Amino acid sequence: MSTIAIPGRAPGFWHRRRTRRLAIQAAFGVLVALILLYLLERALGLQLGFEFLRSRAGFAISHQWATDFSANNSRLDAYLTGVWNTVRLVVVGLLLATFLGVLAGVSRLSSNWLVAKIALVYVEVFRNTPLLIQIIFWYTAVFLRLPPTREGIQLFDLVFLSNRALVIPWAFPQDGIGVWLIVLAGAAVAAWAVRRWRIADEERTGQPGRGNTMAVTLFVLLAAVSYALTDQPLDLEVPTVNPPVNGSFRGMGGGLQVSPEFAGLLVGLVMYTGAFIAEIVRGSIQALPRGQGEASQALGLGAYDRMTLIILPQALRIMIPPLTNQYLNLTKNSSLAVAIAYPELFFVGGTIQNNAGHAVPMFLLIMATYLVLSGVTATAMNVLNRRVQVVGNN
Amino acid sequence: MTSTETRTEAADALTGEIIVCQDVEKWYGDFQALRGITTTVREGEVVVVFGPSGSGKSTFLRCLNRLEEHDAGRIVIDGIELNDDLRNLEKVRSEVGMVFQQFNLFPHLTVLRNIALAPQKVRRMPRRDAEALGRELLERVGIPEQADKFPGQLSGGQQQRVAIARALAMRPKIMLFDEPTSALDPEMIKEVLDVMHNLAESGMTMIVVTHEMGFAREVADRFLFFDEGLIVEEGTPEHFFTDAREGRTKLFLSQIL
Amino acid sequence: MAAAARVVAARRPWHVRARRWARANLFSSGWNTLLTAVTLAVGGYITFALLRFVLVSADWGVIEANRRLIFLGRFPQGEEWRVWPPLWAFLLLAGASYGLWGRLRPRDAVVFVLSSAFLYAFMVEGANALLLGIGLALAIGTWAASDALVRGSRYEELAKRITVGGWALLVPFLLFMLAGFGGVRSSLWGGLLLNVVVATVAMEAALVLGVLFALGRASSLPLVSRVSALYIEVIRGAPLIAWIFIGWFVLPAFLPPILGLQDIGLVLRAMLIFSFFEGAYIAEIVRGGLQSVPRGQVEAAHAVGLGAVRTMTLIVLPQALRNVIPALVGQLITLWKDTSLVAIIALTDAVGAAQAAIAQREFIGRQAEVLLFVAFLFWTVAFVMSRLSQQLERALGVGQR
Repeated sequence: MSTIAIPGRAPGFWHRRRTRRLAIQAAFGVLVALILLYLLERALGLQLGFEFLRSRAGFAISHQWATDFSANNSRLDAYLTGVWNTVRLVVVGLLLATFLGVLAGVSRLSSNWLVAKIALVYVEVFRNTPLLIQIIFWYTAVFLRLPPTREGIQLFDLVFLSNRALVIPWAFPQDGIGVWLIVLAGAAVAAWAVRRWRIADEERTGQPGRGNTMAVTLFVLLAAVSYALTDQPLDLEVPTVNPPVNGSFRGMGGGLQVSPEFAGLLVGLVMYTGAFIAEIVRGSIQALPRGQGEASQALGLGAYDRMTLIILPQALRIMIPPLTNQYLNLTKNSSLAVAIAYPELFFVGGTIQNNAGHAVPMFLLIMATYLVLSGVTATAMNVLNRRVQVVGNN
Repeated sequence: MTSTETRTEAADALTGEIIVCQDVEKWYGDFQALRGITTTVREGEVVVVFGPSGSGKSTFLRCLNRLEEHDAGRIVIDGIELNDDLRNLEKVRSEVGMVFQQFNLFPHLTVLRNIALAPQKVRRMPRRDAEALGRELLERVGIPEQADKFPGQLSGGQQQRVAIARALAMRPKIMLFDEPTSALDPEMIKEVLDVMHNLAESGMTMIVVTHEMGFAREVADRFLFFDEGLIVEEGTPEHFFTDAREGRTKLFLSQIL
Repeated sequence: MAAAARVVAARRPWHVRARRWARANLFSSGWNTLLTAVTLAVGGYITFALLRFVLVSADWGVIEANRRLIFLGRFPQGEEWRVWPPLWAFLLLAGASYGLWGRLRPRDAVVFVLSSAFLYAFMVEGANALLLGIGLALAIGTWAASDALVRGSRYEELAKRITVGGWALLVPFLLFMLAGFGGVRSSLWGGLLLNVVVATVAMEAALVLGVLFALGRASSLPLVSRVSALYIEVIRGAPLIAWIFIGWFVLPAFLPPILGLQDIGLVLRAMLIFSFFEGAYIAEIVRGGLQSVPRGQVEAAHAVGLGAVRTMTLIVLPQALRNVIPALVGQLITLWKDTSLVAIIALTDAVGAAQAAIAQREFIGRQAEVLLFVAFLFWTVAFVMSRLSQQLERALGVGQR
């Protein structure tokens, strides 16, 4: 046996990969640690406690929902009222923006030239204009410019428009609502069962099962009958205008009153986010290879089956991650309320910070709240995402 | 006299013309893709279409099941004219199967669901029957064990065989193949061609766009050579390989053989 | 051949094509006809109402009276000349770029003529008209020269390099002109000028920061990648307006008391906040681009002997950035629109100027005019950016392998 001489030698300590990596990371770690230490040292000189939130707020909040707040409550209560105002705005905004976005996105792909072009103009105008200007515009140039209450506009006796409030018809829950809701839950279960049965039947016989139609019909029927039987658990109100007293002020009642602040913010957020969602919807459908539609056509699948069985399940998978991003953007953009004084969490937090100082803990609290809100939205969307992937795979 | 006539009619029906095209034209904006195609295909005939890229052969195929609408001329499939009537469209689509170059399987459905979907939804077949049919067809194309996999887990050749099974599941009278082996690796081409070969022997009417001339020579009853939106030359395989008349045909054949 | 005669079959006459087009695109079915009618009614009404407002009922006097405020804010009288050289430089570079890289399309020429006409009819007068004329002449001149003389000549490469260098120097030049030789304090910068300055500075800084943090997050060193990821997620967790407030109220307490750092103006702080905030978003986009580059590219680079750093800067990063141009420009457009948020911290940018104009006693009730005008200014820039990105995409062949 002969040994082969290998020229050269093992790399020196400084030339080893491991050493290099460790050195770089150590240097980086020290740098980051120094920055953090410096920030900490600075922060220790400031007021860091959260006790100030226990003190009396000392200011009123114009919008309340699900809380009962007055100036004598604590600052924490004020902040929580702001959080609920954000939640209300964001939930309504997400629903409407999704609806508008899907509508506009599908319209962009319409075979009707006019519809497609109008959707295009909508998207290009609202996507390329600052949201802040849009919100200020809706608030100051539209909703605040409506006539005062006594000259308010009434549309078909259903909607009342004035610069103090928009009043829309609304159903208010009454005492019997609990029973009715339980019945509704039962109806939903029944409808679901019927749908399952119809689908199984369709698969067995091949004949159209009409599962969705029958389930919806059953649910609506049950809901209507039980509504009549349980003595009207909802109080349906339309806006009413009180007759003038001495020819001066007309009060208004009934229906749901929406403030110009809420309306301006909501319309601004919905129109802006809707334009972005429209682009996502369009892009996701267009991202599918043309062959998918052609193959289903060649097999003789009708337009409805083609959309629900082939195109949408695939487009939805592409759509959900960027859609989640837009939902998070809408949540964060709701903070622009500060420009028109709608008291959501950022505005209330800013007010507390203005009154009491304690900027560092206040902003930490605000950021933590946004992180929680974003986390909830993202988690819900991830669950949906996983479900879509499963639904897509069955 | 009468009986003879009946017999002739029966014979006609037996070897009847299942596809009739007359002066078919197709425009894309200012570009004319088909410049007057006139040809007929008899039942059970296997026609191979070839020609340089951009010659209109794919467009022609896609007009036959109305993935593209022709702008002028007439197309009659099995006695049904292709026009704006949506009911005709439905009938024709379920009688004409199509296999694409890029397979176009539905990636979110299993192999078996890919095959069973259209029979269930269009033919109104019970799910159990549709899936039994699917398994039978998978057996026929030689991959029964892949039924529950997703298309992404299959090789290209297997995917194309699933695509053929999917088209066959509608029990079509005519099968269109648009360059079915062009996207495949060489070692997979044969498995797909074998399936098509068997199909041709079973008497299926087929129109195949392909440049696999060895296969074409074996199975085809007739060749159509397309160039610049026209049928430049047409005839039996022997005619093409021994005495092609047109210069363009000879040039093209010398390039691909 | 009989069919050969058909080859030259003439195009259909226009009215036949128009009728076919209308039938295919507007009235293809009963449902589509109804849709067309409804859309036409609603769209027509909105267009009519908007046109009537713009042409008839609006009082544009408020814009005329506040033009200076909207464009320059509270920029001192007599210092306006500082704005012109950077604007000329911009027009000069734009003309040269169009000549060197672009291709003259009739539509571009029409847009150029129409927007110049708009500027002259409504926006400038007196000396400004002359100064703008110099700029436009520069743009046309450099375009004509570079298109006719330089392009295709042996100086083309050189001219392209000079132009790219010019673009890189434009923002420093702008800052120098505003603040240099006894210039104007940043607290007096305002109007659309302020939006432009904040946006351009932050764009350049955010791109650099974004690439750095993206590389950090994609790094194989666990500590580096964790810290980068944490930074990106924390920044993206809270709204921009919260960070701007932090820059306003909290930042000064955390700056070291040296070199007068604690007294840095609001404008500078806004630039810092925008850079770091948008940098986090850009980092995520660039990371997506890095992931889109096939592994084979890295292997090929290593195989020809490139080291880790060169593989990244010469091979991976250029492809990564090219692949994400649409998203990247989208984020820069967002940054441009976001600069309007400085109005909330009491800076007089274009939006702040609009709010000030609305508050003027003689223009009460003129919110719509002012806001529409300012929105139009922002929209124009954003729209041009998105169109440029589409052209860039096409020129670089994004989506083609």
